[in-house]
Amino acid sequence: MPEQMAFRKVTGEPVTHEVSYGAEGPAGDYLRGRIVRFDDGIELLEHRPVNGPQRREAYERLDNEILAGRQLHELADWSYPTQVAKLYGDEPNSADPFALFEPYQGSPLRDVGLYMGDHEFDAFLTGLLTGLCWIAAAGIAHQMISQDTVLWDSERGVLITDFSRSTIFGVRRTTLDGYDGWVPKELRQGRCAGTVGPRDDIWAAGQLIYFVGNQGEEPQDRSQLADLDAMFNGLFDPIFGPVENRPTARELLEDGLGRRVNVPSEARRSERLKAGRESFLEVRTRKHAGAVTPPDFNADLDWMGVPADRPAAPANGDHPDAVGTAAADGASVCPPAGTDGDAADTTAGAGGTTRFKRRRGAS
Amino acid sequence: MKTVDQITYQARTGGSGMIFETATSLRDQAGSDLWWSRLEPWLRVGKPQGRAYLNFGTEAAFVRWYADPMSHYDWERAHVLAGAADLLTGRYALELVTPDQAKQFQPEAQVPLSATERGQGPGAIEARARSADATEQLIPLLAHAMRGERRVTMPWTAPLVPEAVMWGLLSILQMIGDTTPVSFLTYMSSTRVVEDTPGLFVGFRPDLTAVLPPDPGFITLAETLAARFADDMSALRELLAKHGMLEPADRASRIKRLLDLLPVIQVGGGDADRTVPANAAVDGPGEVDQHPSTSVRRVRRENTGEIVRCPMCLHEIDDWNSLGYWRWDESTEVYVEVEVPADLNDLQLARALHGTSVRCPSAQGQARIGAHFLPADYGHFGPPVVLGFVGLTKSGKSHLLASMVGGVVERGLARFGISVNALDHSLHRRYLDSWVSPLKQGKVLPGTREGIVEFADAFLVKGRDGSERVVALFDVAGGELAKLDEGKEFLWIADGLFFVIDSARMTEEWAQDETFGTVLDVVRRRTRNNEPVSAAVVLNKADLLRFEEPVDRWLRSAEVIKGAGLDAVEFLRESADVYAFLDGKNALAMAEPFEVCQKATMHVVSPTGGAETGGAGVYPRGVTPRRVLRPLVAMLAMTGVLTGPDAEQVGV
Repeated sequence: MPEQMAFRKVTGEPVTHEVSYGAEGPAGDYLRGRIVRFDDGIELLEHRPVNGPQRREAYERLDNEILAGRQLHELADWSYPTQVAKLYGDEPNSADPFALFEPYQGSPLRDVGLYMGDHEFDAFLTGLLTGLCWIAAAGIAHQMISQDTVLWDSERGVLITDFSRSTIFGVRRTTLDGYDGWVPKELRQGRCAGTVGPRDDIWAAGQLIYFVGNQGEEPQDRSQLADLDAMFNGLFDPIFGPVENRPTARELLEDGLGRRVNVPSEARRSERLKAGRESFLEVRTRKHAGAVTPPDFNADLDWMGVPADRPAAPANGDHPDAVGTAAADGASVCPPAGTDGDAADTTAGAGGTTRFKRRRGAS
Repeated sequence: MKTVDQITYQARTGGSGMIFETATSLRDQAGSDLWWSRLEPWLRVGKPQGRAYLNFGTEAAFVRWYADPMSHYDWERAHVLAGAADLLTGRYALELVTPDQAKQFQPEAQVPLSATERGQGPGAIEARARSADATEQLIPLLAHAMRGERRVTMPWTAPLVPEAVMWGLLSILQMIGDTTPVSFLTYMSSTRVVEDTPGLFVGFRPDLTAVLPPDPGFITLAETLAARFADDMSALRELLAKHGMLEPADRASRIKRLLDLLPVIQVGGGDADRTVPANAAVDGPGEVDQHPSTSVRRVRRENTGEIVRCPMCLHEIDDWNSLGYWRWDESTEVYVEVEVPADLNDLQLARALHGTSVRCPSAQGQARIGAHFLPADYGHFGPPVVLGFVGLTKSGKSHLLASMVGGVVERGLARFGISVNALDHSLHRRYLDSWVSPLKQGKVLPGTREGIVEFADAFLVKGRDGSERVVALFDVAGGELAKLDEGKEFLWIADGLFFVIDSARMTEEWAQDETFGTVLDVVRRRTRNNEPVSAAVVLNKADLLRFEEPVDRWLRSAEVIKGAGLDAVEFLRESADVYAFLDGKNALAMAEPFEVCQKATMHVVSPTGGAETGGAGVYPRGVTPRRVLRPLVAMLAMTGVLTGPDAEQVGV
């Protein structure tokens, strides 16, 4: 028996469709996914909160997906990035809310990342970082970039999915439990500090790049980063340092790989908010002639701020906030010491060392 | 031509069993059905010792009950007169001849449905009404009636006394031009109250020994009128008419005229012993001690000389400590006066007075809005801070207030260095039970009732510096705020106002809130008089805007940054973002309080965390309030409850 589904497209257009349900789509602990097939033949992926004790958290996660999708749509308009899961429509306020996405294409990198050729790896790097550029430009931090949430399709390329843990720039960081292997230090239990910004996803992206580049091996020692660091023109090693010293996705693409990026600026949202505040300050000054604007008034919007003299990446394993520290926390971070500089020619050695298979600047 | 019809009813197994109509002069079934539906609940609560006069507005009924003296049922037959209220008046009914009791108990007897006859005229009942027994009861009843009470329960003392008291009351009300419909039941053995007659209802109960003490100011007036009535009824009527008692158009004006005439009425009787200054009768706190019907000992503390202004009627109470103490009675849902034994030590006295209230002594205020009570500690901690909520109906004011109080109860203000205690525990408990608990259970709250302007809750708030202030919270129905008439007096003394914006109205079409304009007119006038008002503009139900910038960011931000305490810059940032948001939504009219009020902040708030859906009266997501305490904290800083450099910068 077909079911009627009423919702709102991201463009604001109200939609009512008779639907029948198809195969189950990707599902998680909080959101259940399934394919809905409209009577005009269109198929979409539907996410709804699961029932049960975790339902309240499930509502929040669906909200996160909708927020990210709407922000990306507003940013991209008609040129929606192919590297990011596309929200088609949503109904967030009903008793059984849902979001509709274009069905995901591709397989998790956990399954397919081990078998990429050099050309594919290059496409993966570009796709992943371009997708992260778009996400950052929308003012969103994905917060769960991993081998499971990033899909790969040999024809379509990268698809970043599952924004259920995402949030927006400027909010204070909160602990993300349960994903330690892919969660940066600043989001782990008891260590949260500062506000979310465009550098937050980069730690997990670096992990993922190493994971794919090293054929599924998880990094053990930061010395293994040398090849990637060289490939990224010295910007890869800082990925695993303090968040404020990490490069952005745009910097990794432009300054690291030398690629041209055609994505709006990450600062766009911040600048828009600052402009809105200016009109308020004018009114305030008219009302209270002597009122002074505090010097740190816009500090909460300065999520793009980067120390002018970002420290150079340590040569080998002595970064104060990287390898040893992270490993001690139970999170694998960096490749083991003792690997040589040309990863493409290395093979797995004795003593548990891993090899790095990619060439610098592979294309 | 108007007529008075008769109906008889039979109850073979008493008033709790089946009752059926046995005869009537009514010619149509519809009329018979109508009277049955009106009278049925009243028939069940009556007794042969009593009579009921029920004024339904344009029509009225007079009921008498009869029982076989040998029967064990409360009654078996009832006789009803029914007709136009201006023909079948209460006084007329009381002057009627009582039907032959014996005839009522003839098996299957039919009541003679002939035209009713007047009795001996008013002479007999008038004499009884002017007796000492009746006068003693008439005084408190008249005081309650003039104050505008709707339900008064009197003690039944002896046969025919209640009828005489009612006849006296109706006569005096007629003289002073009070046209309020009056109904009565002269013998109530049941506490069951039937709430379907307009105006005043008076019931007489044999199990009562005293009437609730009425307002002291009206007592003197009632004593004087009853005394003049007992002395010479015609002279009183002429005196009142001569001084234009019937000229004012409305009831409140007539009561005011009467209060003004009090010295004249007193002198007119020539009884110098009864003469008291009119002002003392109305406002003088010393009068309460002289009330003859109460044995309550008043606790007189030293007058601090500090004037406390009643937030409900604006009366200036110049000796707070002279007021008597009252306590809310949960079972009867009325305030009852607290008797304080004379030999209590200080600790015992404090215990006895814990959780009590005082009644505002203003007669004028009570004439306008009825008796109103304030927590006994309201006037003990310096000038109280009065805060009110402004916004259209359905803007979510009640949900906001309930969430705020819920947050306060959960010690949410401790994070800002603020400790809070309920000022009136019974008031606080009632508010929690009626509003906060249902909301926490995920239920949608009803709107604020129209016509009710009273404290929602009040707290004793202590900041970091240890100073304590009383903070009183008012919630008013949105429909009432759109017009400035009686009952919104608190606006004229409010220290701070929460202007509540309904996020559902943010549609990018031009939006405004007429309640803001009405209230801001008052604010402007007060500002000109150097009485600044602070404002917290609340973008309420912000969960509806949770995907929009910058609402998204604020809703996802913690209510207070750990360790930051009161951060004036953070309040300024939030205000700026809300202002910018309203600007972008073509809704800057709603930001007007920011421009008009001397100190102002703007906030993103979600009292429930999600919307009600499906009209089921519940929140499917549960209730997870967000940022509800920040407007209150800002208001406490702007109104001087919180002190210090940071607090001074909030709202600037």
